[in-house]
Amino acid sequence: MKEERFEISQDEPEYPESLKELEDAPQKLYVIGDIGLLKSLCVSIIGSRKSTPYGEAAAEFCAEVAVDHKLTVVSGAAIGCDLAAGLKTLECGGRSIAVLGSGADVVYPSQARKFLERLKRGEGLVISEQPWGHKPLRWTFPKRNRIIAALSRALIVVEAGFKSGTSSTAVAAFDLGREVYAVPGSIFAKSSQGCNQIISEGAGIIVDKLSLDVAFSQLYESFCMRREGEGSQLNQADPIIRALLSSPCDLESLQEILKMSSVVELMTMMSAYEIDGTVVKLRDGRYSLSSSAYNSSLQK
Amino acid sequence: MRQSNVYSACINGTNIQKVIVEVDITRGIPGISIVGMPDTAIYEARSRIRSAIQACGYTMPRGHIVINLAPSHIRKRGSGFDLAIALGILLASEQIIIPDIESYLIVGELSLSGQVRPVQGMLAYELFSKEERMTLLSGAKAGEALSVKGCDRRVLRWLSDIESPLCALSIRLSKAKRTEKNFNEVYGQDFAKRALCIAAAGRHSALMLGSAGAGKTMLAERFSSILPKLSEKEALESARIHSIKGLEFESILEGERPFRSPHHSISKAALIGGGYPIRAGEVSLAHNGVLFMDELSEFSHDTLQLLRQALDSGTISLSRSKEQVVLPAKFLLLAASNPCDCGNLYEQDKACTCTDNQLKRYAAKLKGPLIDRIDIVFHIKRASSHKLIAETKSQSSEELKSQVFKACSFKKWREEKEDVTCAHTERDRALLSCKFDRSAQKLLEKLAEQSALSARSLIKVLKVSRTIADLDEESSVKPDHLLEAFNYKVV
Repeated sequence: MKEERFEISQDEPEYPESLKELEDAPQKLYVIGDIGLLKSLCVSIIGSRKSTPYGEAAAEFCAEVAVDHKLTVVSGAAIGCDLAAGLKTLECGGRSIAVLGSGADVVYPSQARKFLERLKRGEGLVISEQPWGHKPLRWTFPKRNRIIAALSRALIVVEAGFKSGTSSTAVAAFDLGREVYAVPGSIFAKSSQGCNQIISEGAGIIVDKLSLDVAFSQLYESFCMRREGEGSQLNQADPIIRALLSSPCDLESLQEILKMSSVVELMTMMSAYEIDGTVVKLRDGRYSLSSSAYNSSLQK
Repeated sequence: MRQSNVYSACINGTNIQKVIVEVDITRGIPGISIVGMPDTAIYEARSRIRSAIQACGYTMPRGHIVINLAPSHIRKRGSGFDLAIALGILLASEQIIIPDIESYLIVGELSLSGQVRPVQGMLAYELFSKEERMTLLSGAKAGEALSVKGCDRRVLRWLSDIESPLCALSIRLSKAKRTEKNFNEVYGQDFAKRALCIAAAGRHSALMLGSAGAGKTMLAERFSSILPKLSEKEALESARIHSIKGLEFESILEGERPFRSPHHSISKAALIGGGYPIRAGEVSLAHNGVLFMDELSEFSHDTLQLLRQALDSGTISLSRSKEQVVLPAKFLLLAASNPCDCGNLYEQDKACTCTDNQLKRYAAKLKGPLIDRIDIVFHIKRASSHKLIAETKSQSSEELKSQVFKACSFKKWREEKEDVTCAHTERDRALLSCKFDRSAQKLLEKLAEQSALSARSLIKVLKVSRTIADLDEESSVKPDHLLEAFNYKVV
């Protein structure tokens, strides 16, 4: 399918009503893809670019529930949580809108190339207020964050560090009177500080699948069409898994938590978990549960 | 007799060249002319020799003195010919008589007062004279001892000592062991110590990643303390290179392995050797020892590229239009680097400020040309403060060294027993020496399938697991060994 490009100005009927609530609503929108999605029910799922498997797992989990409720997932197509949410949406057969900081025809970031192409070919929509060919600049990203906040009736923050662009999106959503939800994290994890902060400022907490189901049903008056999930059970009795469930750890801290004297034994155990896909080694040297392990821990 | 021949030698790059010093005194205008491609230092010898001869109570013969350094097509360097020329003149003018002058190799510099001084590379001259079955006649520093067993080295303090019985230099007595740096000064870091122990036991090249102040350099400096002692042959090889460069080599003769840590601004010639004549570089100085490259990512790409040959073959071959030289360079590579541009990636209490792209770029730079020559990668974190304070006992070098020693002897025994002649590729050799049982075989298949390791990384995991099994003195690699080796994978 060929890409379809549109330019929509404020007075045209396709221009989404929700954006007009913004004080500085964009004069013109540049869009590529399935333009009908602008009128659909949307939920925004965003998170940090420096994501951990925990954040990605949360993004995937929220995206999956959103697709079950036939909602369109709005995101920023940034690497990390945004991309995880977008890809999971398409994987589950849902539709996604990517709001870019660059021009809608510019591919940025390069890791999202395939994802953006799929959206442009009809599986979703790419949208920007910047004209065609506009380069991604530092100041364009905070601006597009307010569009992400405005487009949907609800915003879910899956993971955010302390100083993060994600917080500015959340503030914009609060100001517009949108519902804001956040996925809580360990209070010791730097990568979750932003999320916990948003919660303390009044955001709803996502506790489990059911709480998200209820929230979506009330907000969007939607019904959930649940598909049966599969997945293996996580052995939560294992002290290593318990330690990692709270936050990612490096070998030294695991050694202390488990009071193990033999470093060899611990390394052997971690490798075994890594090989069967339960944990992944982050690039900062810490071990974390993999996103599939997190998701299977949710299934009771 | 108005003519004399004496033997001397000079160092040409890394080789020693035997030189015949011919002296001829003819009638004519008084003066000394030196022929046979001498360098400036040798020209200047004329004034030193004149003063030294007179200071020692001899007379400078009247007439024209011609000195020929043969073979004449080779350029001669250095001040080591002073003594040979002076003795040649004294012999030719019949002021002294030395029986069996052909059996002496004469190397030494003269002072104006007639004192004989040693020159750079005495150990190399000792080796050379032993090979040539000659007696080395030279000066010696105060307290200097013979380094090469079986070499006959006679010492002159003054030029005039030649007339009294020559005293032989006695062999160096091994001194009480110097207090070297010990691993028990590093608290915590159990994981790093384990990794270094494996690297030492299997001679695996290793890369440490850790933030500034995590203790990378401290660990590296102690690395040579857990390596097995140098054999006598190895010690002489390494000491010879150090001696020619004019560097300290006493500890090497005692069996301590050389440890070289070149700065990252090093030039290519200084690293692998070069110049004219070709001189040895840092990799040859690290021969039989450790080459530590701190801040690996800061070394230029081209410089690192040069190391690949040395890591593969254990030698460096340098070709110039005038000469070809093969230098020894069998070293263990230990590299260290920050994990990212800001250096805080592994620290939990400090945030890493690098962007995703910066991290990617840094990782690519780190991989560079050497990553496929590195077997072990491990992370180092700053030791937590309570460990620094509370830990009372930390693994010492002696404990680790005995583990390494055990593993090495086990490996030697195992390799003697094994027949790997039918294995032609590196993969076959690695697989064959591992002797997997069924459970380990299954795990290996799973590991290869799940972890998306490249073939090369997988072979490295195999080789490292073999060494870990050696540390446990197991003749077959068990699943646990394989799992531990997986921790040090290079990706």
